Formats: sequence, C-alpha cells, structure tokens
Amino acid sequence: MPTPTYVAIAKTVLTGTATYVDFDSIPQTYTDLLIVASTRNDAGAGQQSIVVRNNKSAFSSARGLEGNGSAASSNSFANQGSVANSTFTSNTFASSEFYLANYTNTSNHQTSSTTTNENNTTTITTGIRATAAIDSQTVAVTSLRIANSVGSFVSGSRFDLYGIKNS
Amino acid sequence: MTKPTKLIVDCSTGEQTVVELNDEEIEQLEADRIAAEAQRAEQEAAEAAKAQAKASAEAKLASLGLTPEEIAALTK
Repeated sequence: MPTPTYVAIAKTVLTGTATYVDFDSIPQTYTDLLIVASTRNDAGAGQQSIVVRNNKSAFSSARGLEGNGSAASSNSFANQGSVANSTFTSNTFASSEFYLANYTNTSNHQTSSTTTNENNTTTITTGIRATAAIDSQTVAVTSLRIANSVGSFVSGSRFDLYGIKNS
Repeated sequence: MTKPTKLIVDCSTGEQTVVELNDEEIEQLEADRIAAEAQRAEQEAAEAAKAQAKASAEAKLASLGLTPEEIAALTK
C-alpha cells in the first residue's frame, strides 16, 4: 500500500464566535479528507455535540460508541463529535478528527470520527466518542460544514482541513 | 437582535469571511437543536432505565443470598 500523503488545504482559528465553519471550494485532487478540530462552544450544561455536513446537507445520524471511564454505551447519535461547553474549565477544548473517505465519489461518502473531551479536572465529563456515518448524496463533496447541536463555537476554536493522497 | 454568524473558508483562495446566517440556516439551526435535545433525552432515559434494571437485579441476587463480591463478579 502506498504511503498516504497529508497536505494542508486550509486552517482557521476563530477570533470571535461562529455558529458554523464552512470549507468551500474543496479541491477534487485528493483521495480522502481529514478535519482536525479543537472546539469549545458557548452553550450551557448538557452534552453538546458537533457534526460535519457534507455539501452542507442535512445529516441523518451516526452509530457510535461512547465511554467515560466508568460507563460505556453504543448509540445512534444525532451528531458525531462532542464539544467542550461553557461549563467546562476555562480554555479547555475538545479534540476531534473526522475522516471522510473517497469524497470525490458520487455516492456513499463514509465518515468516521473520534473525539476526546478534556475538562482538565479529575472527573472525565464525556470521555471519548467514536462514530461512523454515511450519507446518501449522489454528488462529490465540494464543501463541508462543521456545525454545533446547540450554540456557537467560541474564540480559540481551531479547524484544520487536510487532503490525503493514496499515491 | 444580532443574527448568528458563520465563518466561510474558501479553500481555493484561502480567503475567510464572516457572514450572518440566512433565514433557512436559522430554521435548520433550530431543527438541529430540537433533534439533538431529543436524542440526548432519549439516551439519558435509556441509561436511567438500564441503571434501574441493574439495581433491581442486584437486589434480587442479594435476596437469594449472594454476597456483594459474588454479585460484582456476575455483573461486571
């Protein structure tokens, strides 16, 4: 198997709040895409989450596993990753990766994701979530939208988009 | 009232623009919030039911004479 090559396509670090972060005009010259995100939002207590929408389209659901060190479960999720909310220790962020395979295909785009949510305390708030999702679009992915379930991303949240070539 | 905003990153130019959400996006935002809250409530209810069933089962095992250590060995 050839060694994959990661190429930085775009990055942004928020200097204010944003409900959505959109990557538009994504080049169609790679095999897969990877989003690496460090996120915190302004929502209150509760298990807030984020989702990556291919071509900004509605998202159905993802299947995944979630655990926090004392309990683990398997669920359908309305979103994919989790996000640090305003009740978390100041300046802590969740770390997420979203891997979108074969995004130039015109069907069956599969996305896998992992998130760890660090609250910088002795109690693990969300722990880790891993999900798998598929969309039913019949066009190539040319844009991505990263959205919150509730609230907006706050300053300091960072999003990096990489293209991955398999040859 | 100030509308929520989005940051658009144009990958072909690197240009980054902050714009307000349009009416359709704001409607989608509300739908997303409702869906996420419903999913969260469903998950919490399922976990509470599971915990209740576990406690009930452990109590029944204890009434049969099993020690806490024996119950733990069966349930973990």
